[in-house]
Amino acid sequence: MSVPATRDTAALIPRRRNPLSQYFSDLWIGIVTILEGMWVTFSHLPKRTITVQYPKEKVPMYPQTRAMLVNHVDDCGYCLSCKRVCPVNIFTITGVRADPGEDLGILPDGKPKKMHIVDFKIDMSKCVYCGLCVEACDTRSLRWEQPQEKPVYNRRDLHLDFSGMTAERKQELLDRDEARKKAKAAEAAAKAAAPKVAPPKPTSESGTASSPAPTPSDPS
Amino acid sequence: MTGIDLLLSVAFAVGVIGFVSVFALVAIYLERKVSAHMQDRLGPMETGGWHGWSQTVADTLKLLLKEDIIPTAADKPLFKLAPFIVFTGSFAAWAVIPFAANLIGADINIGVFYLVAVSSLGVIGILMAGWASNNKWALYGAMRAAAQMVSYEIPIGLSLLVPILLAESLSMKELVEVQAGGFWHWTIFSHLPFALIAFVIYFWASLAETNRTPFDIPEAESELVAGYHVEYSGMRFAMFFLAEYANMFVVSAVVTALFLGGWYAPIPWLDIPVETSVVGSAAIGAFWFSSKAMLLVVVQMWLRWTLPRLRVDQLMHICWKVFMPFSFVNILLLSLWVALCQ
Repeated sequence: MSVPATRDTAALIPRRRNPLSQYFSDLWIGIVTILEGMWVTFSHLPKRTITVQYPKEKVPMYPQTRAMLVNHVDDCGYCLSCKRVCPVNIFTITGVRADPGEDLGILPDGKPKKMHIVDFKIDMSKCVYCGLCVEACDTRSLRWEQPQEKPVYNRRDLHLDFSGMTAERKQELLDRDEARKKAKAAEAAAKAAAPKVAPPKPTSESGTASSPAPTPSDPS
Repeated sequence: MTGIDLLLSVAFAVGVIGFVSVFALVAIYLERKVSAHMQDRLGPMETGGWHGWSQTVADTLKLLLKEDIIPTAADKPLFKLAPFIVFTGSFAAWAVIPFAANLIGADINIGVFYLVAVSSLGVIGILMAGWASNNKWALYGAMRAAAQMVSYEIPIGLSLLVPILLAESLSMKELVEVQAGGFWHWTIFSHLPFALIAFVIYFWASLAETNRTPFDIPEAESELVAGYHVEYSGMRFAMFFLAEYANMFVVSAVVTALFLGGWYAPIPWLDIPVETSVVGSAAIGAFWFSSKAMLLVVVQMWLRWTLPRLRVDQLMHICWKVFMPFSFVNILLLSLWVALCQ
């Protein structure tokens, strides 16, 4: 009953000259092949099924699968390579410079982290899954991850935010940045105003009014 | 007929209706599971919890609640009547099925004859359905069904003659009773070459009678959408479905009664004689009878999921050029043997 996997079925049926012996030969082959077919279907009864009961059991995805972009914000150095390389412009990134004494940790490339990532939004509804941003990321903070599913009821729920900050903290950092910018602007304005006064006494004037002003006022 | 007899008959009919419905539910579930596992699938798995056991119950409820659509162009009285005629044909056959020595609807002396006559009633209903639908696919299916069922009546009748010749009776009860005393007394084994050929021919031709694969050209999905019941929906469609499964059991029951020892257990001491206990005998008889018939129903499913559909010419070839000569020669040789040796 065992037969090779592939075969020429026409060749299986012997051709005979006598019509009567052809008749019986065909009949015999009919019976044998029916039994053979029944054996094939029967042999599949106890076999393991290949069906996966999807929501209950899941097939693990390949590590290369481009499923969902995830940014590990602690490793993100605010280089904006991802934003620059993205062909559909799905990144909205805002950073606030850390204060000079502030320690934000070391990035995977060995350099100290200098920026607070206040906003790192990815609009997955627009993503074309080209993967250029992941390749561009120097610190490997932006990666593909493989959640089995990410169904949402609202398109806005696909705007993922990876900053990992509360709104208050964000506001605080942004306010601080704003204040610093204002101070800088004020300093620049002062500097712009100063030169007319400064030239006669360069050392004392600049020391008190402009250059020490931004640095000592900030330390945390 | 006395009042008690009438009451018993009605009780039997009601019991059979219940049995047919439950059997259809179980058999449809079984068919889906068998087909699924033969194709390395799982089949229904959700409804009802454990392995989707209540899938067919849910399907039945759905069919009961569905809108009953009758096409505008249909011949309405015929269209409405047809499913009931098909079901009546298959249901009437249950009257003579001997579940046990004392559990048989009507032990009439022309049991087999009645059975053959009644089971060909279905083809009228199928023709009615096909014609009344006013749909070319339905009509094609009905014509194919008629051609097929009328052709296969002949090998069926001829192969049924073999056990009749051996038992010298047409009564279903007597046909079973001659096979008493262990499986080696069953017709299929006691007169091996003749009965075996008759058994194979009957079983094979009965697949054509029930319009099941490999003989399902009347409802060939890929060619005729659904054949004669393409225009039916809801409960009327369910009647066709019920009739198909009732028919499956009927032909298996006939094979069981005529060839496989009916209600008798394979080994005599597993039986309870009527003299010992009336109820016990009926129960154990019905158990053995239904088990054998169910086994044959599973074989029908097995064949369905193994073989491809035949072409019309192949179908007719098998009937007229293979089954007919074989059953004729079979019955002739058996008659000769019976005349000379018994």
